[in-house]
Amino acid sequence: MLRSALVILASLGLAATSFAQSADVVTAEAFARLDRNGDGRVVRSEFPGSDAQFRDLGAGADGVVTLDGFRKSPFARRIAAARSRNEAEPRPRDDADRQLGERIDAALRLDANRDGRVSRGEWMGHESHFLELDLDGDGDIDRKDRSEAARRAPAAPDLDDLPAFRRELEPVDKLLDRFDRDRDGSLSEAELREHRAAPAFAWADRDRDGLLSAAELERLANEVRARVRARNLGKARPAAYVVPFSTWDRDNDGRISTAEWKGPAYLVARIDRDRDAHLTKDEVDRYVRSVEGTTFHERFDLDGDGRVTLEEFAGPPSAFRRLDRNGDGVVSRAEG
Amino acid sequence: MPRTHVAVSRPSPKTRRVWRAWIAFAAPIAAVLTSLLQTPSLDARTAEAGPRAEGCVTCHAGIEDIHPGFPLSCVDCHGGDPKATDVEGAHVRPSRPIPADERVLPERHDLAYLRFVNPSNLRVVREACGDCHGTIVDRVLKSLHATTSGHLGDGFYEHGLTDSKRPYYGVFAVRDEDGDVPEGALTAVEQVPGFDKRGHRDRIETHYADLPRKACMHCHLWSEGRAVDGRLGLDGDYRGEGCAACHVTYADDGRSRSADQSIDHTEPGHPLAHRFTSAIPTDTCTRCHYGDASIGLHFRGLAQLVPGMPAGPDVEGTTDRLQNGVFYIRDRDMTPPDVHHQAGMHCIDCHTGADAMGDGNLWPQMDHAVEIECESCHGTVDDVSDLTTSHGRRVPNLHRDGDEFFLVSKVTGRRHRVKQSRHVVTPGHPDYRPAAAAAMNQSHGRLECYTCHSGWNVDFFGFHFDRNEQFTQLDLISGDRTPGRVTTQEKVFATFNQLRLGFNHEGRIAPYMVGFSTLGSARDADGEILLHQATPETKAGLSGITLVPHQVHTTRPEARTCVECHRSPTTYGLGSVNFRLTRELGYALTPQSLLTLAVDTRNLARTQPVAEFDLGAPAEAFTVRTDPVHARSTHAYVAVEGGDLLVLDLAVASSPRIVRRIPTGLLDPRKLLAQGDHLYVADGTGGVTILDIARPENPTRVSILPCADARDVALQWPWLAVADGSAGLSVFDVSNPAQPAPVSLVDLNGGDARANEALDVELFFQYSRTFAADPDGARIGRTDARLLACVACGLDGVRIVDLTRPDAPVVLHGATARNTFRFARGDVRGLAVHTVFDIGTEGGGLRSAEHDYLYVLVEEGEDGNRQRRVRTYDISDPVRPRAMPDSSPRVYGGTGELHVLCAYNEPFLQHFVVAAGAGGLGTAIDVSKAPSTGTAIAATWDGVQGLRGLFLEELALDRLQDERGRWSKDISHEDCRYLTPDEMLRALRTGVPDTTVRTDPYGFLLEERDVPRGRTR
Repeated sequence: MLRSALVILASLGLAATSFAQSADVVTAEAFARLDRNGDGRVVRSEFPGSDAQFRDLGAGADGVVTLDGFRKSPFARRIAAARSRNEAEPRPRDDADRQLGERIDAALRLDANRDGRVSRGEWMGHESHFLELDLDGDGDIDRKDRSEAARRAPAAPDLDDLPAFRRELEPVDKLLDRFDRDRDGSLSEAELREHRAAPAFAWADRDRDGLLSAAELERLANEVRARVRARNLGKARPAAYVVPFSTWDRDNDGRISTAEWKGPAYLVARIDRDRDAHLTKDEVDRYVRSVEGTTFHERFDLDGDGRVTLEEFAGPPSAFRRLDRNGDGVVSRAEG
Repeated sequence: MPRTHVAVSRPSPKTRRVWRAWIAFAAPIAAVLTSLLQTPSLDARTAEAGPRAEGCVTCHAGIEDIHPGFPLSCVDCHGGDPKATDVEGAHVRPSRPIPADERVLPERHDLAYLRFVNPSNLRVVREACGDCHGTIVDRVLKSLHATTSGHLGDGFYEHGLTDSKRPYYGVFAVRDEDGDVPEGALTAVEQVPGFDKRGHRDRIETHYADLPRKACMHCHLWSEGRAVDGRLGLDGDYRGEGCAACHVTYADDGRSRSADQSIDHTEPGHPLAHRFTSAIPTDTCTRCHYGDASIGLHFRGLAQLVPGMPAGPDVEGTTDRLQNGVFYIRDRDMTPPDVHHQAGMHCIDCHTGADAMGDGNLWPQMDHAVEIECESCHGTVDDVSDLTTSHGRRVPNLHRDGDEFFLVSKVTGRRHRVKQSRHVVTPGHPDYRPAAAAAMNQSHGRLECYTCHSGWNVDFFGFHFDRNEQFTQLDLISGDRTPGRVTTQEKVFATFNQLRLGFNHEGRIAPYMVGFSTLGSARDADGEILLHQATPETKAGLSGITLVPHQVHTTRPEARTCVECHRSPTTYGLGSVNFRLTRELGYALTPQSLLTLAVDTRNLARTQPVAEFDLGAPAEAFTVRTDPVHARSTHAYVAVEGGDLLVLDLAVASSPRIVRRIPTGLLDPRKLLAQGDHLYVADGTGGVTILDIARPENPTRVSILPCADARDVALQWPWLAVADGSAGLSVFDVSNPAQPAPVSLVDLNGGDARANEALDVELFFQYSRTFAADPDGARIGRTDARLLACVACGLDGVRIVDLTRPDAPVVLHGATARNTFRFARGDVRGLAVHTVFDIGTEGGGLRSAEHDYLYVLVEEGEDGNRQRRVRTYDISDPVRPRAMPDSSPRVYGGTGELHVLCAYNEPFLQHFVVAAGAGGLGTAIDVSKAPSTGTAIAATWDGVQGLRGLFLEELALDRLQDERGRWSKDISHEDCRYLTPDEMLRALRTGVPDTTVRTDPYGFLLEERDVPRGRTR
């Protein structure tokens, strides 16, 4: 037990060390490039940039930049973050270990003789997958394997624990810039306290080290983004842009010219069916129906007579002919 | 239309004996004499013939003696008055005006004058030539060259106008009254009918019926075809009619080089000289056998141009001068000539007199009429040639001298050694070839030789005809100008390297080729559209878009490779990712609803939803089943949250209807595929669920394939490829869907420890392509043929897997591929594969050629600035893929789905790649020309949020049957059939020679140099 704990601690330490080391390597390389004369110090005359940029390098009171000071500077943090952005994978991969449990659940559906286990005779997949799911190696896939999979899976955060967010998070490097007071490249719970993401700390801290690394913050931001977008998608009924026709038709000619149009520019082409650079009431009505209508007749039966003609349809004639099942030139309610 | 028939009766026995004696004596002498350059002039003959010919040669001094073997005077054949001293008196005058167009004159039209012009005109040939050549005349009048019944019959069957696969229409009605009608022959043919005004105007068959008389009446013996006297610019078309069509040679330019002083040597439409010949060169045959009667082109290494293709003297790979009014493809790589042509042989060196002139029977099609076969000269693997044709007649110019066989050309007199198949497979014989012996074995005994030995097979999938009643056109039979101008030369897809096989009427496996398998459009007199790319249906209820068994006449000693039959389900008509014509409607899935789309193929940005159907449940994924004959949607299958499957009836496309909700226990449905009678659901960690949809409204689960994380499926029956997430690529044999069997599992990251991310998969059989193996093109090579799986691997990029041996896949991820598929923090979500015939540039800088392309949807870039692009790769050589420069347009939104959309916007086929976007159609990229200009058309639909999937109706032109062996495309020839599922499985599971590539333990290709470099341009 103690030995396991020591092993775990050592691994965590190594991981942290390795991350710190890789950041160290990056900043050391950057410092070496700045230290033109190789004396271990960067003075103002060695730096070609502006005074403000030189101050960003973490100079001491004596106006000299040492490696230690550089490591703590905003400039070095930005370089390290950029390097991790460029090299790290843009999103997490699917957790194959976490999927083990789901796969065993799915596999148990193959229990044709209902004896509570799936034997090789019932298995229709690859042999290697069978071995993969038979975690206890007893030659069957059963509930014992399911329990073992649950035990092995990393602490899978319950997605429902993530509080609801109304909007997406800021970019991670900006988060670190604002809240990483000790400049260690990660956010502690205390540092994040004042941010709206604070309630999600436990969810995001996958390795339970009490710190949110850039990778963990990235994962949190991705999850928040996905949920915010999913919540917004498909919920609201689409609404057409409201065109105040009589207000915009200043010359009262029954049409809105491009000069009179005050809405989004792209919509003119969308509404102007006959490409005459004027929008008639009929064209606007047709646009509104195409966005807000659901059934075919709601969208296209402009005169409400229960029949849609090719003129009303105004789409590709070949498609109209497919919908006009009896070939009489109109799509009646009986036809759809 | 009055029906006439030619009653073919025979002279009396005594007459026949007398003339046989004369012919037996005179014919050999005539043959020798006519082959000499110096023939006695007619002056000398007239002196001998006496006063009957005196006057003629006064004007026609120098005219050649056309029949030197037997004394005949001019008037014996032509009629007229030999004593007259002026042309008015001497010549037979027409009793009525002769129309100066291409019509087929009536059978009884001004016979005296027609005989005067050409005594071998079929209307008068019995009186002119028949006295001596009666037997041959009888035969010719019943031959296919006279009736063209096979040529006419296919189209009528395909459009459901006849229910017999045995064609019985001809140029004129003919009866066979000699009392000897063998099995398969006809007793009569009727004259081809014309347009029937009573037909339904909205039916394709009504409009089709106008075509044969207007567009298909040029190439037969009853007329001179297009090359009417005096018509300029038809080089390659000028010919005679009747016997003269073959036996009198014409120059390409149709001008006379005769010594006859009276002939106008500047006017086209005259024979080369006043001579008969029996040494008929290929050039004469190709006066008709060009264009869609394409064997005359293929034999010579030519092919019709692909629409839009540049051609001419400046364009490499095309002819330099106009023939038949057009240029042709002549590409040493793509269209090598038939080896017999290359050796200097001519058509009649193989084809017998019976082949060309008939054997006295009314055969309906070439299948029956042609007696020469490869085995007639080359023997079989069991025995050498017995010097006879398949009809038991002696091949007259084939000889045997001990163990050697040789053929003497009837045209050049040259001697050609004829290799024997038996010798090629007999060890120890000088002609023995071990590779050939391995292939030419008993198990291949049912194959026609040219199944393997056809160099290339051209297929214009989708052949469009147009009929426009705003204009009139000449009915070539009636002579009336009637409403409806027709065009028939509109090709949709073009490909040169495909292979489709089936059984011919002899029960042998032969290549199938696209025949006259049409789509049709029509407009009325006001220009209103009556039909738009309508599809025909036969009386059997099958699609009339057919392929038929065909001897392609591109014979090469360099045979096709084994895998093209033994590892390609596409070969047996199960379809491919190519040759799919997008139709008028589509469907899209949002989280809440199913949208019906009107697809505007002319302007994709105007594609719009026309109806929205509320599903009543959150939707995850869907697909649509279409009917196999017309590719119209019948049902939609929508996987919804909670594991259920909704079945929707799409009979009324604008108003779908839920007919059933089935608890299928799906866990994480990602993609659905409906093919044949089965629905395959890629169900994430739930594996692949297979449902039987033989009763489409009542799907039943038949099996579950456990997988790691099934994200997508692709089917090349019997192999189902699964993009299996972290496990890589899984391959199963689903020949028995209730008991599928695992075949292989591919770790797409090989020795790399990272878990796989297989997200999307496409299967594609890449046929071999020919290329000139030496500067003269005397030998050709072939690129490798492969069954390929292209996989979108998320953060790992792209993998191409060679599944030619499905149980031993090879990952083609060598150095070139690693360098080519390199992205900036890329995330490859989707891909598509498609073959495009790339039109070259005017002036020939970029050559027209066919390439296979991989389109990859990839998200790249730094965090906060990630962009989605579609990148294009030429995978014609999949071991060494090439990125196409300057063709990676940015796309927006993104479901990860890429679709290929092929729109026939007459007269060109346009190819688009569509990235289905979350906010609507997304982005469509025109990839019709390569390198693609990357022209992107962004189309968004207001009100469509959260697109989950897109389905476009497509007519799969090369899907001939389904996985249960049910035909969708008919075959218009009798006694022909596709392979049954059992036969297909036997072929596909046959062992083939191993490849010699070396792989590492994970199946990754070790060295690219192990794989021959295929020719790509």
